[in-house]
Amino acid sequence: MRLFLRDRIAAILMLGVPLALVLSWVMWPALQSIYISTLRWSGTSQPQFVGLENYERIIDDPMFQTALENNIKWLVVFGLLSIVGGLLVALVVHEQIAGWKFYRSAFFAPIAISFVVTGFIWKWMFAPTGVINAGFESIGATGLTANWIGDPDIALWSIIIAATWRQIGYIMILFLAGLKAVDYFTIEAATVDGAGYGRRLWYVVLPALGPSTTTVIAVTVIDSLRTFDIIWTMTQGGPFNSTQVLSTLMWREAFGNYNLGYASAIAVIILLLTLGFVIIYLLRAIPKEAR
Amino acid sequence: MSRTSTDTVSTRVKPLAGLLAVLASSALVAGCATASTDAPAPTTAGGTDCVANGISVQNWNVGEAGADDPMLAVAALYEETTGNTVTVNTVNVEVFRSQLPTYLTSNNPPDVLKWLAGSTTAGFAEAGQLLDISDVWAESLGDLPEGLKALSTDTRGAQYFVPTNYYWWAIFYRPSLFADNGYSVPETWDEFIALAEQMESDGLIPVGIGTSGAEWVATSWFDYLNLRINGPDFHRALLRGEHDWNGPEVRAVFEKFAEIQPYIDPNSSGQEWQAGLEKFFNKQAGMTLIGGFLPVPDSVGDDIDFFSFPTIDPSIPRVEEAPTDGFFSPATTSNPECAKQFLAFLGTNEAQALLRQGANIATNLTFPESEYSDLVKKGRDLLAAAADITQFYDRDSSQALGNAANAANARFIAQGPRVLDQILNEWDSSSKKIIEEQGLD
Repeated sequence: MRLFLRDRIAAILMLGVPLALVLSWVMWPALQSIYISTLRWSGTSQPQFVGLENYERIIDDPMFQTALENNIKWLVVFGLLSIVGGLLVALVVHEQIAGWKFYRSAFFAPIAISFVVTGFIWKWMFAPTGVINAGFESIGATGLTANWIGDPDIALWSIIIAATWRQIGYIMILFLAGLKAVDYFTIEAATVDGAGYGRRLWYVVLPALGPSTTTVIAVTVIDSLRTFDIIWTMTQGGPFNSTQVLSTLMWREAFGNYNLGYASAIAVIILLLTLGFVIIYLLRAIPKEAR
Repeated sequence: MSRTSTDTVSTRVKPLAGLLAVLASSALVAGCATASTDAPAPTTAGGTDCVANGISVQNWNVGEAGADDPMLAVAALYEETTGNTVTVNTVNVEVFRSQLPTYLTSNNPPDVLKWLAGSTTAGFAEAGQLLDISDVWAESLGDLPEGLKALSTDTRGAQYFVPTNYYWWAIFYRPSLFADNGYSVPETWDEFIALAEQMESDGLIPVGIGTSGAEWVATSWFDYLNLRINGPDFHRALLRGEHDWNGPEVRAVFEKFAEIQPYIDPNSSGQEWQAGLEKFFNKQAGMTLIGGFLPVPDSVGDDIDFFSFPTIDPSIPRVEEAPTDGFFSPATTSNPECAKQFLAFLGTNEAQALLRQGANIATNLTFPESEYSDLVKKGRDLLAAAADITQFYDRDSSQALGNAANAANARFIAQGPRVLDQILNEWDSSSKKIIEEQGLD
């Protein structure tokens, strides 16, 4: 089909503007970060080229190690809890049990709340005299009270609980969309063949959810790597740096310590990790869509 | 018809043009950021027409920006008395902290910025990024104390900072609580520990504190213990990296720290500093080590007093911490003459009366006595009688060294001596690394 000149101009404009935006606001800062990561630079001082020194520092920085470990803990636990939780809720809601619309809304409601507000709500509940400890005390379970976000051994897990509370609804919606697309006749055929709920779920429904699962995993991995706001509102990486993740450590080095070169090196590592996962995702997702 | 379509086009084009301008300028800023940042020589404002060439002040506060911000009143008074123009921009202190390098390297920097005295600002001065205001000091700031002048002077002997107000740190208590329970103000460390023990057996939290998201509060304990045990010279040398953070002197500090640690609120790390203070105001906690900035609620009113951190080694003169706030101008300001006029105004009693909030003390020595409450007078006398004054750990060293200290001290308060070795070794290695890589500023 021949394009008229006017269409060509429209096409160039429509593609060009997003391209210009991506180049100047995504690609350029990313390249800039890579460059700054080779500098020793406080933001105002004369930048000094130090090659890969910032990356060498990262290797023996115990704080970076803590942050990376926390990111992995976050990825695994937050990922599993929210994916399994979201799937279970989606399966239950999809069965349209009595009051399913209410449950769907109830689980989806936290999504309307930003991570920042989620953080404030849970911080308030997790306070030493907050409603969670007060609740345990009122039923006599004083052994279950804890310094939820003040104890470095459990603070990260407390934040993960708060984050999962919000994420489950999001995952539920993604799986619900997938469940709607599962071929009804296949399920019926399996039922006629005598397959119970468990076997139908395992052999028909879950395999059909494959594409949704890929999306869910990609979303969860990316959400885990970029997690910042909820940690920042609840603990700011504390107590004593026990809940630092890569993004909070990056912020602290850049804007707390004016260590922009080192912070950029952390940013580059986050970028590489994210890119790695995104590429795996694309390799899995694109051929299927192209087919 | 054609006319309307042209109109539509032009309204469509404008946002796009604006967008391109933003893109171009953001690329420019990014480009500049990594280019050479040698401070250009200040340009003259062309006479002193500060009406047309109004200045901008970059202000910050610790709470929410409000119409009651004292800076707005100062600006209004300045405009009224001189006819000159001032614009005030206020942000949260953490935003300010993160943006400060950007303000200083911007092509169009604010003309005057509010910040903290001490090493935090000295680093910018040593790098030549702050305006030399020695002439302002010589002409207009003669009523400010010599000690604060020294604090505002760089290694070349030029002044770069106008301190406007400062406050003291001390152990605060509620006199009514002390009277009801028959407590008396401790003067020595042993009396202090005995009082804490008594408070605990009376069902009080002896020492209130909250460090969640504000671990710097914990570092005040280290500062005072180190000043009382090892003295100010060692304290400053340690902050310059001339001693080990896990050496015998610092261990001696933590021996005493361990004596009071069991009496500090065990929930310290789970509550914010305001929550820690609330327990103190509610008389759930008996004492708290805090600065004069503490927001005293109306319900407490005058029922609040303080005592100096108790003496540990009588041979060491009493030193107090008195963080000082003030103002400076970037070397690159396009309007140095008008900025200097405003800085001179900030040294006057009229300006300081507005800037000095709560328990802050004005830096001008001629500031009228009648303006101060009894509490502030007592705080001022405490500082006047001190053998030496320090700012605060981070203000006396650097942000990064401060962060390392904050984590160590907050952790010791929460977890106590069982993790001491780990705390000190981590603190030592991270501090030494910071000094090696960043220098001291």
